[in-house]
Formats: sequence, C-alpha cells, structure tokens
Amino acid sequence: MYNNRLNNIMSNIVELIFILFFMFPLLWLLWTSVKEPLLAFQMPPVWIFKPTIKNYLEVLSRGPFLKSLGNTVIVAVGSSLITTILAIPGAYLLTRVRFKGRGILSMWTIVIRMAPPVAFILALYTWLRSWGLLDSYLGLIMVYQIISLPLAIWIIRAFFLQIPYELEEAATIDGANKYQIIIRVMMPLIKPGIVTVLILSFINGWNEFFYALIISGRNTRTLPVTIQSFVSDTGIEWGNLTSASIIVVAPVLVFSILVRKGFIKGLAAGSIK
Amino acid sequence: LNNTKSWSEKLFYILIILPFVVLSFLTLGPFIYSAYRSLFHWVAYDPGNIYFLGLENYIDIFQSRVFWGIMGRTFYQVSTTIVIQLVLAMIFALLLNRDELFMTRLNKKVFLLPMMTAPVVVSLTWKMLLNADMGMINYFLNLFGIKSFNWLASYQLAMPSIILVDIWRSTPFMVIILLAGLQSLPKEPFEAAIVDGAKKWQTFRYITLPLLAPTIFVALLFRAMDAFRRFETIFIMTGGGPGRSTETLNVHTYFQAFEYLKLGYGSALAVVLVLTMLAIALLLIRAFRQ
Repeated sequence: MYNNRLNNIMSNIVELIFILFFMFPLLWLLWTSVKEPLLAFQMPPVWIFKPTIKNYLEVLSRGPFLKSLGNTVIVAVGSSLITTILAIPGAYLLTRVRFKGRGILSMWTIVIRMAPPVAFILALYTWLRSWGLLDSYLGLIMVYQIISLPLAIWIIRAFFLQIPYELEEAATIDGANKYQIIIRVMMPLIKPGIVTVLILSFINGWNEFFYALIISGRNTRTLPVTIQSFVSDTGIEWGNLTSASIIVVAPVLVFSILVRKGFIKGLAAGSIK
Repeated sequence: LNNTKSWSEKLFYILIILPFVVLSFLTLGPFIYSAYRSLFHWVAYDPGNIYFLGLENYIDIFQSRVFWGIMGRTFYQVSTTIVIQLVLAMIFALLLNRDELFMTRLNKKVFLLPMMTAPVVVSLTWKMLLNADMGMINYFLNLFGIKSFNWLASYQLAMPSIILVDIWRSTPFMVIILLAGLQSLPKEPFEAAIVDGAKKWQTFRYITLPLLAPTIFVALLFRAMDAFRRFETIFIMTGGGPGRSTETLNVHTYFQAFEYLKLGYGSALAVVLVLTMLAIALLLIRAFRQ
C-alpha cells in the first residue's frame, strides 16, 4: 500500500516534468507577448509586470500581416473543404470496391504522406509557373492536397470500415443508389470522422511553411512565411514576434483541444490499422 | 432509362477514382519529372540552355565531399532524434495510460499542443529561448551556476539543439501511437503475470514490450521518415549553419535548387533523398520481420 502510493507520487512528478518541458515554451511565448516591448528581452527576466496588449495592436495594425491572415484563412479553409470532399469517395474506393491492387493503392497513399516535399516541389514550381498559378490561392490549395489528402483518406477509411455492411445492403434493397448510400447512410454515421478530417486539414494548411515559402508570393503569402520574415525585418522586436506567433497558434490550439478525442482516434487509425 | 443508369454509374466510378488521380498528378507526376530532369544540365538563371548529361549529376553528387558530410549529419540527426524520442515517448505513454493519476487527467488535455503548433512558431520560439544573451535556457543554466552557451552558433551544439526542438515538437505524435497500441493490448497476459507475482519491470520487459513491438515499429518508421524531411527548424533556427553543421540532405537539396538555382542537380539530390528514405524504410521493415 505504502509502496503503491510512493509509486503514484513519483509518477505524478515525472508527468509534471514532462508537462513543464512541453508547455514551457508556449507559456513563455504567451507571457512575453503581453510584456511591454522594452521589457521583453531584459535579462534577468522581469517576472512581475502589468500585462499589455500593445504588441497585439501593433501587429494587427500592419497591413501585410492582416493581408496574410486573410490569405491563410482562404487557403486553409479552401484546401480543407476540397480535401474532405475528395477523401470521402477515395475512402469509399478503398473500403467498398474490390479490385486487384487495392492493398497497394492504400499503401501508396501512406507512402505519399511520408515522402519529402522537396521531391515534388521542383516540378510543381515549374508547372505552376507555366500555368500562371504561382502566387495564386488555387495553386496553394492544389498543392496542399499532397499533405492533407492521404491522411484524410486513411482517417475516413478507418471510420468506413466500422460501418456494418448490412446497412448498405438494406438501403440498396430499399432502392437507394450509390450516391444516396454515401450521402444519406454512410456520411451521417461518420460525422466525427468528417469533423476530424476538416479540422486536421485546416490545421495542415494553416501551419504549412515549405510549399508556401516557394510557391506563394506577394499576393498570397501565408502567415507562417510572413512571421518568419519578421525576424529580419524587425531585428529583435520580441514583443511583435511573440504576439504575432500567438495569433498564428491560438486558433489551432483551441481547435485541437476541442476535437482532441476524435483527433487522437483519427491519427491512431491512420498509423496503426 | 438503362442509359442514364449506366451514365450515372460511370460518373460514380470516376468520382471515387478522382482523389487518386489528383494525388498521382501532384506527386507521382512531379517525381517522375524530377527524375527525368535530373539527367539534364538545368539552371534557373539560364533557362534556354538545357542539355542532356546522363548520370553526370549523380556522379557529381557521389564524388562530392560535401554530400557525404551531409549524409553523415542526416543519419546522425535522424537516428539520435528517434531513439531519444522513443524512450521519452514510451515513458510518457505508460504514464498516460494510468488514468488514476492526477497528472494524467491534466496531461491528456494538453500534451498534443506542441505537435499542433505551427513549425515556424516552434522554430522562432526556440530560437528566442536558445538565444545566447537573452534566452531563457541560458538564464536557467546560469541560475544553477552553469555558464551560458551559444547554442545555435556553435559547431558542437547547433545540431543537438535542432534535435532537441524536433523531440519537443514531435514526441506527442509518438505518444499517440504508443498509447493507442497500449490500450489495444489484450488483458489476459497481464492478469496472468500478476498471478505469477511478476515484478513491474519484468511485466514490461517480457509482456508489454513484445506485444507492443509492431506499434513501436510503426512509430519509429513514421518518425524516421518525418525526421528526414525536417525543414522549418533548421531553415529558421540555423539556416544550415554554422558552416554546414546542421545542413541535412533535405535542407541541402532546397538550398541547391532554390538558393543556388541548380535545378538539374537539385532534382538529382531529390531523387537521392527519396531513394535513401525508401532504402531506410525497407531496411526497417526487414529488420522488424526478423
């Protein structure tokens, strides 16, 4: 009994260390973002101060920052919708149609998820340029399918596999066609899966940096690329940099806390089953 | 009537194949194009002057000392990251699997956050934390009487710093996979172990670990591939420097293609990167089968 309690205390302490390690950088970011600009990089750090939203107002008053905030919303929402619309029929093919090479097709989708973007970007850059799609929302939304669609297909696939086949048979006997079966029978049953995919793809598009660095431009630059250029633009203005960072991560972190359970299920499904 | 039915049936098959056509068009197509272009002399500042070289780009790569240095660093980065991460993630997952603990209930709500944070923000934040003069890491070290380090500007410490940040960012992903694995283990062997009076460590070593092996393998495979592609941390925190001490194959390829504008040579490097990753994946799969 005594031994067990000691064990629990030790375990709690180890978990506390983990949580400090994982949360400290984010808390520091938040903490620095509400400091007076001059206090931000004073050493030793000032622990007690009156919080201010000065940095946020300053960042939000910058035209380029607001423009790229808008760009990021457009690209993230657009790519997330298209990913979800494509993932549902894709997962249907992988779970409901029997054909030779289905296993290989499923594996190949996972391989794309693991492939390095640099393997595709040279050609994509050349092609998008010749089609006039460099620095366009459409180009970014298209390219973001590479990072979002494979995972989305796998998550929906895992949810489809849990639907008993009898439901579809019954619907077929009632005279429903395949479109109706997907939209009226299957989709309502996998709502949590669809929500997970929508949010996950949104986050992918919102956070993406590598492709955006190369194929976005003055008109479509997204937030990750913009705040990265803050560093050189502003020297060591940590106040602005940290508040801009908080603006970038806050929506995503709130989302991910909200959908944590479906999210963990989806990710685990995408990698284990 | 028959005609419309077959028409809508055809459309249905087109729709369910479409996602894979899109994916092929965006990945397989570009990769084949890159592989083809890797056989050419092709530089961005002289687009009119493209000519066939055969395998010369590859010969250049394999004869370059820089390339082998970069390969070595890449392997060092990938293997160190995933091994440290596996140990940490395993401890963390075992703890998170014990719902009766107070901290577990708290931790489960927040442990995903590093993974969801935009990689750019992660890199910028750690760049500030690791700052030599004004960073919190040095401040804490000084509190314990340890002198400051110039983390990102030092040949010895830059790569470990990059690895630290990657561990911070992606350990939660490994935890998710291991935790899912732990929760799907059968109960019977553990009950039998308790009846037999096995110690906790023995239970872990002889029951949990073997049963969890497939999950561990998947986690390692995913994370190894992910570590190979690591870009933001290096690009933003060190830009590959100091010297080339943090330039990995992925970052090197980017620089060759988009900074030095050597598109043909860069294509060849991209092909080498993909083949290297494939080889590592196959080796891991083979090692696991045995």
